[in-house]
Amino acid sequence: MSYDPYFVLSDFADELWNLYQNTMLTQPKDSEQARSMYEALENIYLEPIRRSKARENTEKYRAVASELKDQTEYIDKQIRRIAEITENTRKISECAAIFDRVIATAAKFLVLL
Amino acid sequence: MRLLSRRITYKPLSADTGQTGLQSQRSVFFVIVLLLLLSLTAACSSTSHMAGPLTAFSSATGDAAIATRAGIETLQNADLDKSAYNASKNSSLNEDLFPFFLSTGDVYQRLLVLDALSMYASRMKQLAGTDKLGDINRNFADLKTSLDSAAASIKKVSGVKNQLPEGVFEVLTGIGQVIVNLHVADIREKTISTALEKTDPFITRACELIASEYSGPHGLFYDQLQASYRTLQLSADDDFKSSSNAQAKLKVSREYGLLLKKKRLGLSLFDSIANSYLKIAGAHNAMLLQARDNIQSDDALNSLNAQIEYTKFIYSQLGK
Repeated sequence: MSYDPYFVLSDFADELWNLYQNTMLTQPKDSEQARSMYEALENIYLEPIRRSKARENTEKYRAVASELKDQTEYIDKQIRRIAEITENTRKISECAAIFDRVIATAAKFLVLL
Repeated sequence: MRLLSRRITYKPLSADTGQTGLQSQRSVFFVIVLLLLLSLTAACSSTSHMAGPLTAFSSATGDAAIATRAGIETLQNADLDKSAYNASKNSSLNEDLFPFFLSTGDVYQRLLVLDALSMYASRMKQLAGTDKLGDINRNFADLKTSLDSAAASIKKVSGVKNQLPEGVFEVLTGIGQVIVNLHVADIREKTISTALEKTDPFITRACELIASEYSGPHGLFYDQLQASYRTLQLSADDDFKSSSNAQAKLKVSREYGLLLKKKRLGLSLFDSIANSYLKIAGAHNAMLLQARDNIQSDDALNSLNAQIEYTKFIYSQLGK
């Protein structure tokens, strides 16, 4: 990781920034020179590198999002499966209730007869 | 009379004794079966043992996503201010002077991953906490009531006593209930375990990717935000130097101070977002170990919760 040119250049940019800040009052010329170098390094090299790396990461995000979506679909499927089982027990219970009502009605008629 | 009464009382007594014995044998049998069923029903609790950890995980993932969205917005705003400052050095304005750091597609893909993470965590929470067993138990209780009622009606009409032993429907519906409950609990626990195992590498990859962009120093977003604020500091410094009177210098100086405050909070938020995602990955892995090997995930989840609380605190300060 430490051999990544971006990290080396970024460390250098941080040093230039600190130099600009710390010598502002005591050595204004050196401070201005550090600022100028910092701006050049940041605008010409570092930001374009970051931009390019961000684009590369976008592709990685795309792949990861797709995998996570697949896993979520698998979970959804199992949740639906459990819901179906519950629904089936409800249907059986409803059928028994209808059966009970039919029997009760038939019983009333038989008693009358 | 005495003899008659003895006879009358004797016969029914002997018959009753036989029937009571048979009934008591049945009752003991049904009580044993019911106790067995009750213990089996208790074994499959209405929610998963992973419900607590998965609820905490889902909440943390949702909060982290909110903070991360705010982070992207902060980055974009600072980037816009930086471009505006750079553009102000030119004699005219054009589109090239505003090279936005993130394109719409870049933002979209990142938000998709945040949504996918939140969705996954939310579904896992739903699965673990689904109280379908409660519904199933209610359905079986209704079934038993209906069957009992139907049997009573049949008995009433036919006039035949003891057609079916007392409690038979209770035992039958109880058996059905236990079988369905065990089946549902088995599907739920297996799904949780499988999903945690299969998803863990992707969660780790997603979280490490997000953390790599937000962590300081030298995460892409961290550095970009820092560079944007530094440019604004340079702009304020130029304004300060060119200010002619003390009043103007005081105004610029105050703006510079506010800028520094925003920069520090912004960078702290980014660093905290990065740590949050590393802890989300750690917590997911700990939950996998809990589901698979019964190793408690409390420490990882507590650590994640503390990090999320810190992130939320910084986020709340950013708006002030």
